[in-house]
Amino acid sequence: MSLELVELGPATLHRLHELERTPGEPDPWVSEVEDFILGPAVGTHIDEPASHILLAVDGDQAVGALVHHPDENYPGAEYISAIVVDHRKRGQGYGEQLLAAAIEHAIAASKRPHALWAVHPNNAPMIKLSESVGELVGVHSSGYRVFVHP
Amino acid sequence: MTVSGALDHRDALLEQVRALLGPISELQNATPSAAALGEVAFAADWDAGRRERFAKGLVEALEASIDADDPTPIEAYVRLMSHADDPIAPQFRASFLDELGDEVRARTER
Repeated sequence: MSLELVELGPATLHRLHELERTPGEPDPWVSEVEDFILGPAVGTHIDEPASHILLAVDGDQAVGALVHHPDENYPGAEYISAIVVDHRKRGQGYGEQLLAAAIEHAIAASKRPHALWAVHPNNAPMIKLSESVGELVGVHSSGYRVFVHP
Repeated sequence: MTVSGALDHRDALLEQVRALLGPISELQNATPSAAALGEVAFAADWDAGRRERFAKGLVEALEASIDADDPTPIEAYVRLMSHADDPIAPQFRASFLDELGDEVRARTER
């Protein structure tokens, strides 16, 4: 397993269609992030030119995607707004690799020293994973946990 | 693919290129006409900067389609961008952090 992040832009955004929406009625945090990444997230490249939308691939297979962008109110950090692992690839260890790659890319690309991300309160696997690589900054009134690395 | 099939494929791509040249030019106008924007009419009310960046994106996607002799990049770009104004849940915006702004700044700017 070797994860690579591919930066997407107008010429390559069609590659998002290599991902498949989770069938049935997925958990709300899954459908929310899929709705975002396969929907209005593509607009970030015209609304926030410093944003990044990336496809995660293992060999020739897409395994997930992520979005990160800066906010002038928090010059010390880059916000990873969304991470998703394709439903066909869950349970294979990609989540851990993808979070690590997202953090590394967010910090390197933004040249900001920290990466921040928020996790749905019922997404226990992601909370556990986040606790292992980051530190809890606080709990939003919506219940979302906000983590930082390093 | 047969010669005939390849020609049909190329014709379809060229037709799509021609169909978007007018809208790309129209996006540069101060008050673009939705009718002239055709399949990108969803951008008619966007501000000038957003329209300009979108026009650049369309050119990039068109070039990718021409280079690959494949309409997929431009078709997907237009289709995906038509969702650029879909509602965005608050947690996907950095402003989501504002409620914890003091804690975030204390942790990231020390």
